[in-house]
Amino acid sequence: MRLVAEVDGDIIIAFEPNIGYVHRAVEKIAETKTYLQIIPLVERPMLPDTASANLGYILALEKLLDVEIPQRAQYLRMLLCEMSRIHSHLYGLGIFGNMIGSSTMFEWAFADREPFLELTQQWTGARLTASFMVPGGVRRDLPPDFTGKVLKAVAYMEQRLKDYDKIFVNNPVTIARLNGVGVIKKSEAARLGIVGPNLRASGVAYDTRKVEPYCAYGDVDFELVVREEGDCYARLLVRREEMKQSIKLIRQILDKLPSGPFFAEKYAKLINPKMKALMDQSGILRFPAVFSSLKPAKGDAISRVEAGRGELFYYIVSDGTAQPYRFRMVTPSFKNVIAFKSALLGARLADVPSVYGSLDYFPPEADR
Amino acid sequence: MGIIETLWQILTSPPVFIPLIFPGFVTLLIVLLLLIWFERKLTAKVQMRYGPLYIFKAFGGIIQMVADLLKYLFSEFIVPKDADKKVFILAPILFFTFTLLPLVAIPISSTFTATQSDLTLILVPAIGTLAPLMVILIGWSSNNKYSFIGSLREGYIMMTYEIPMFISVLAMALTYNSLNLIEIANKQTGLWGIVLNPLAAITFFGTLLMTTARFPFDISEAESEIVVGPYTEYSGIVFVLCLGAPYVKLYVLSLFYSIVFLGGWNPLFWPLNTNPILPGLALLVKGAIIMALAVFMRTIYPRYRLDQALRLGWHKLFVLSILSVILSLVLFGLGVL
Amino acid sequence: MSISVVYPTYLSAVVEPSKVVEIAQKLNSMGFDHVKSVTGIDFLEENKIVVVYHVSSFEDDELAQFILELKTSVDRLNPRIKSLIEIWPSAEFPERETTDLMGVTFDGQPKKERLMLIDNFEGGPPLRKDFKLKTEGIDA
Repeated sequence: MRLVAEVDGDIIIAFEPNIGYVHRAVEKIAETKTYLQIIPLVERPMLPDTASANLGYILALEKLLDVEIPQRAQYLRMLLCEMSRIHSHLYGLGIFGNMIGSSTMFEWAFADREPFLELTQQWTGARLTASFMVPGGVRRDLPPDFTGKVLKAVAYMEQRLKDYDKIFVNNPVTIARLNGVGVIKKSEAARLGIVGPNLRASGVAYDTRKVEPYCAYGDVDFELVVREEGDCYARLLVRREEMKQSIKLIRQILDKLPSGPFFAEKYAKLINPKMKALMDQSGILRFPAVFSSLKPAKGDAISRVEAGRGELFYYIVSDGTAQPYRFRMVTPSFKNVIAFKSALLGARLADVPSVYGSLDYFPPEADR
Repeated sequence: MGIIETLWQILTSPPVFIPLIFPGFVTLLIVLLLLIWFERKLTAKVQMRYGPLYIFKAFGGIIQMVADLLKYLFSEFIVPKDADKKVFILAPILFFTFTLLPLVAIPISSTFTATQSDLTLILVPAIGTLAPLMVILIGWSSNNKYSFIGSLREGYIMMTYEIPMFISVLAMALTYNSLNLIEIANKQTGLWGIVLNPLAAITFFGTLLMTTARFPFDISEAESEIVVGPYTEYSGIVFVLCLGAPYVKLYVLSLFYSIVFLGGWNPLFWPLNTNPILPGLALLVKGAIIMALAVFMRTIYPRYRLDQALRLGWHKLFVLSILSVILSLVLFGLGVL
Repeated sequence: MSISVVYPTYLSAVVEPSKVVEIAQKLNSMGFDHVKSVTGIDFLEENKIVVVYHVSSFEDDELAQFILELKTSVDRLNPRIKSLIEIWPSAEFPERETTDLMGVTFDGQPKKERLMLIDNFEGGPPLRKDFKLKTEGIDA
């Protein structure tokens, strides 16, 4: 993106974000692909939080297909989403540290993504764009002794959060640099439509997982992290606290994981019996033949999920054929662009990187 | 025989030995090599990565800077079309020279010094003051708005740190009742300067960080905000000069700091006047400790904003330096030294 | 105007273009405080473009569970509709994207450059059904 600032000395008097440089026409391409082929397509813009993009699309699609998801699959979906959320927040904190000059925070945050990427690869086969959720359930069951590894990774992350506090969050230079900078007041935040940790740092207690619980979020217990100040430091603290909540959620999910099938019965009975036997033995899904040209019912469907950066919204218009008639995807970074205009008026030129890092803006996601 | 002997005499005489070999040009290049390697390696170890590794792998990539220097020597340096060509090339050269020049005034033993003068305490920071003016010229001549912002920032910061630096030096002059570096070092046989007047020591260290653009005062070259600041348009060998000059200044000021505050060439507390090599080494070791401390700051602190650094300089460092002068007057009145 | 319930948290309303502003003001005073998305759907045979607004609430806990959809149709050859940016500031970037990619003009948007496409883009608005994506090596 390009940020155009009009300055008077050191004070910014007008600010305009100029986006669209990474537009890859996801919505147009989706009209030419079958429903299953869209799954990798929607993951690509939303790095590094790919599981939420996948989940949102599948939730919208399943409303058109009218299929019931087994409980175990719901929990497995939640587990991947929370691991993806931690990854997304680490990425955000790293970029934030780099923007204000703390290269230590940048290197540490990026290095600490590695346990989660390793775990995702052992589980789904891919490090980042897992394409894990399919209509009806998930693609793979947990490998043996996976739970122990996840708990170890999560305990390591808790330890590292304390290190981050010492080096970055409680660093006097960081506090001086971020305190009171880029304030978005509570009355403005909801009107501007910003989402995610940015909204919660301005005092609005809104999280899609609590408002419209999808998967099994109604059965697990976590707190909403809300702060009142609305400045860059509040956004940093909200992200850090949310990582702790994700760790708590992961522990609960692993505790409460029910047993059972990981793929819906409606499609499982359509799989070739030899393939089905292989599937039950290895825990890896074999697609039924109907997936190659899935034709959902005619109608509209919407879904919303809470990705790491905010609320992700899908709108599918289906006309009964194998390709969608209209596919709409509104990402959290696209909704957050407007925050640049109001947070930076009257700030100094050196505050631009601080605000950019604190809003956790990701250009490919905003431009799709 | 006669010629070699005469050459040897000339080489080991102080006015030639100090600026050329130790702690002059040759030692400077070696120290620069090791210092930058140390900074990169230390930063990498803290940040969970390797740092320079492949060049001369047995020693952990220690001659990495030689490889970098060779690369820059052979790459073309581009002068932008709209830049002021003479100033564009001359300013970095003068920048490097002015940071290097104060070395002539630094003594390395009580009898071995290049400048026989009673004012060496003031001479060293004073010559160094000309260097930031060259930075402003560097930014101005590039004809690029980011360079311009960078050189303005350098101008503001320069105003802020020069004054507390000189006032804290003045405080030490009052404590020791002399402006001659040799006398100052000799007077520290009992107590070191850092114990006598800790306020001046802290103030001077703070201004040392500001003048050599170490984190958290990396402001004029703030990478995420204004590309590389005043040095944006530079490439090739002049870029090496631009980026090497703050390290040279760090080296010179560290030697200065160890003479004024850490007892100079007197290791521990007894005098060592035997020959110029041993005291010189002691001085270099103390200087190395200060340099290592200054480059370590990179791993800890983010970068201050300009107005916050200015506020720090004027509200805290300036006040501390005035207090250090008062402390010196009190010490002088009590007849401590 | 007609309202239908697609499923319990998703309500869809079809309104006429002239009444959109009035209904939007009423919804705003009820507590729906932001726009989630603005979508344009192209119906080539029926010669119309349907503009869809999805609105919801952040601050009102009860209304936050619902997403309300406002569908209006505009003529395909001259798609103009009044912008809702005065009522809901969050509609600014979604509306600009719809202008850029679908060619719908929103009266009341301050005149600005293109958002997603380059300034000298050739051809009609890309998201319309008569704009075919060219596959490299086969068509182009």
